[in-house]
Amino acid sequence: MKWFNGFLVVGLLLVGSSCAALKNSSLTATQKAEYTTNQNLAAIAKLNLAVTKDIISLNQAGLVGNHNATVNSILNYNRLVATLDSQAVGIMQSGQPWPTRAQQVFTMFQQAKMPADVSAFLNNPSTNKTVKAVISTIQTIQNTINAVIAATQAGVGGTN
Amino acid sequence: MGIALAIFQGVNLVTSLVAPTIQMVVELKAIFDKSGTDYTAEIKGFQDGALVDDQATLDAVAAWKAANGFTD
Repeated sequence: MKWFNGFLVVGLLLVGSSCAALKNSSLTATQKAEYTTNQNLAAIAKLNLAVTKDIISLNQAGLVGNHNATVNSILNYNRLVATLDSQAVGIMQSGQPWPTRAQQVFTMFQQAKMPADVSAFLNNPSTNKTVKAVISTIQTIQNTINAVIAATQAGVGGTN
Repeated sequence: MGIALAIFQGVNLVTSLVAPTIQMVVELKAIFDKSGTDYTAEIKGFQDGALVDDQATLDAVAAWKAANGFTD
């Protein structure tokens, strides 16, 4: 019976993934934009969590004082992104028409600008390696935010 | 006698000036120590807030995907 159970499990997995693929491929343009935006919001949250944990490590290692200005900028950005991302998910799930949600998320995410001084520290040879890694992650966050801005901008004025 | 009194008063004045200065240093140190603690608390507050909000975002997106039949 073991081989039968194995087949059954594999069969169910195949059916499940086919359904998921079918579900994902049969979406309208709005549903795709909504799905992509949600995925990007989750990606931003994951990256931002990594930044927060790195800052905790830097702080515990006593390195915060050595890069005070940078860490302050990173801290502010990190907290801002976490707040905006969380609010954006709330808007996405508010039940309003997609153009309205797109407009709100688009407007809100335009506040999230990567601090200008952070890039300068990335190019500074004396900047700590972990701080550089954090800044690199922040750049990826900003790129993902820009993708959300582009997707929601495309949805503004569209149909639900 | 007048000179001795003047020296005594001078020393007294300097002593009275030095004593509060030392006191001031102690107080300043306490203020700096306190502000250091506040700064650490502020960092921790930022981190805790970010962790909570980011996790809430991940949970909300995961719930939305599950409710709408999406898988990664």
